[in-house]
Amino acid sequence: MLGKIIWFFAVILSVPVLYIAYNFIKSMMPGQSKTYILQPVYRLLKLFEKKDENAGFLAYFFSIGSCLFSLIALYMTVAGFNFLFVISVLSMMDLLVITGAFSSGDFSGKVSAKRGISRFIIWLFTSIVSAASIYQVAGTLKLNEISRLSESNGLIVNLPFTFVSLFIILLMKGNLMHFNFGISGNEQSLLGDALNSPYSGWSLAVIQLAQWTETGVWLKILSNFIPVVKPVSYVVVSFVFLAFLLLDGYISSVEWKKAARLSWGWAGGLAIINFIYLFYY
Amino acid sequence: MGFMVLCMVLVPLILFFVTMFSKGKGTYLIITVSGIFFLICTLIMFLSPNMADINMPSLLWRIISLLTVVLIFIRSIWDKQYIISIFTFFQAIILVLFEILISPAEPERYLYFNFNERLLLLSGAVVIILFIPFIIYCLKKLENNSLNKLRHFGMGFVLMLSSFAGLMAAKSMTGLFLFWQWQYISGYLFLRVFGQTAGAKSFPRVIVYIQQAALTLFLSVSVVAFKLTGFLSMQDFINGFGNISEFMALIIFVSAILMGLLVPENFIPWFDSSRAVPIAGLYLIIFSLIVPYGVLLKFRPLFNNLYNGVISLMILYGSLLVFAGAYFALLFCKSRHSILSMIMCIAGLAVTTVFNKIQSGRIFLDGNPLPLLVIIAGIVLTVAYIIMWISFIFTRPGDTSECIDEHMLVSIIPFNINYGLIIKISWIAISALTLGVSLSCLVK
Repeated sequence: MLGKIIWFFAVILSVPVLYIAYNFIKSMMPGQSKTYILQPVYRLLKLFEKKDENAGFLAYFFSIGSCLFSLIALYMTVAGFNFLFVISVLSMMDLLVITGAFSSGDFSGKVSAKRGISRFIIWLFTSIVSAASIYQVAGTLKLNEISRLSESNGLIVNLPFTFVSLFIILLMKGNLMHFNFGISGNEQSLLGDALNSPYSGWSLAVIQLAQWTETGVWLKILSNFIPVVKPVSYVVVSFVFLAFLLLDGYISSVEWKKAARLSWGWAGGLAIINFIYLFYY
Repeated sequence: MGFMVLCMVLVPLILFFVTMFSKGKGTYLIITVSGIFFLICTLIMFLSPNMADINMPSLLWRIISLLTVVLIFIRSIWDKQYIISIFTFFQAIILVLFEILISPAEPERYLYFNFNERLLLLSGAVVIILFIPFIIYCLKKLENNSLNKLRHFGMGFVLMLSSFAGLMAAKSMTGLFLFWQWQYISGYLFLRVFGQTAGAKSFPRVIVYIQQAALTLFLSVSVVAFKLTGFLSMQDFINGFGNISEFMALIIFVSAILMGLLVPENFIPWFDSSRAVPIAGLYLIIFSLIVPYGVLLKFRPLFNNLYNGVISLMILYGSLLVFAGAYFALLFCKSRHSILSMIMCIAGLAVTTVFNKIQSGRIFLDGNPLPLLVIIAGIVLTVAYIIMWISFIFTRPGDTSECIDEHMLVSIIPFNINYGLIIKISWIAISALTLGVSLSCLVK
């Protein structure tokens, strides 16, 4: 139990640390403006300070609800629950954010919600197909079993495309590279769904926390496939994610529908290829 | 034959004649009473399945079958629907010759519910009782409701109950034929009520013709089945029909699909009128969802003998139903048709479930990952549909004009592909493949 609690808080803290590291490295690069090291956390704290008189009950309801579901998903992940259960809880989290954006009733809120649905459908499809592939190989969907099998049998050998497709989900969630569904098309943060919606002030800050937690969940899920001990595999996956965060600055942004097409092709397509391969061989 | 089973089939039939001569007065009362009666009977039968048996001669059922066919024949001539007249004429000839030349022995229990069927019937009865207030509300809302239309509606409703109970309880192929004909009459009566409004022009008569053609084939198959096995009861088809098993199974499957109106898009204009939505929903839940599943379950002993390829194609058909239903539901997400498409989506899942785990092995398309992928895609689209509906609840009404410029479906599947056309081509391809595989088994 103690191990689970340690993992729970370690994952929660690791994602802000990643963004702080990203912010620091980026500020060191030539041509970039200098910023404070703790800029991402500072922005978050400022959001908490901001008082928004327009935010209604629904905005608080959706933001707190999504944060709660992300925390539940994180606990289930570190406790090694069934992969599909975790996906279900993450779906609920995404659903609350999207519905909240819809509830604004204004144009940009609906547009961001529309993109949110598009992204949601892609990652949900990819996750379910990936789950089918994982079950085909491992005979279980429990994350702790998958982790154990990865260490002993090198599960990733049979699931290379599934791993890549799950990693692309992480990139989609982070609005990175050619998988950017952000409202402005070149979002650096995770706020694509939330912008121009009822969320502002501390409800937006809670949404941000929820999405950081969600990133942690995906990092933890992906780390289960790396055939080394758990802490090392988590660090490895986190570093790869950090590398993509930095790489994103050098990649030109694409129109969001193209991002959706690319996501379908890479995330959905690779998951399908791995599934069909496993079925016949 | 159980007393309660007989009550569930015959009491609505008696009410059918009562409504016919009531000139439309008291239709609301008859609808309510028959619905409550149906639920009470179902509950009693569910709690105490072994009540008193009543021996009703099978000859009586054959006479009722013949009378039903003759009635449809006369009515089709009256309505100048001569194609239906031709089909029903052949059906009458088959029934008469079958009786005179062969005189088949019907199963000892012509109507009987096993546990699964009782469960399906109970779920149907609960759905019916839930729908009745909405049906009556929509009927009353219509100002120019003539007594004649009300009478037709009431007749259709009680016959729907009777045919539903009969289809669930029938143990022989001739029984299924009889109750499918009652379902046909029930649908015909509903169309007489709602068909003369806005949707009249788009009413697809071809489906009615195809249904009668399918029933004629089904009746012929029952004759052949009796000749080959000596039985009419579905549970006695354990050994199949030899070389022609696949072909016979194909006709049975197609009959269940066509009578279940599980042809995408085309059945929706049947109930185009907005006031028809509750009865359309009820009709589709009963005859497109519960009945095809229940009927196909009856034939599982036969399906166990089939070549794997045919089974996998039937599974593929079911999976395509899931995707197509979800796709069309999302396409019409702002109209009343979306719910009807969603029923078709769930019906696809039911059809697939019937064939799941019938056999193992990997021949032809069996053990194919494609159905699973298509079903996953359908389920994901269904989730998108649910999100849309939840979102509509929270969206302020009258403030949606900004998003009309682009349909949601284009955002979800952002490729320039005509999915509607692909779905139609897929139906044809699967049907042709299934027919091909069945015929190849025939000459094997």
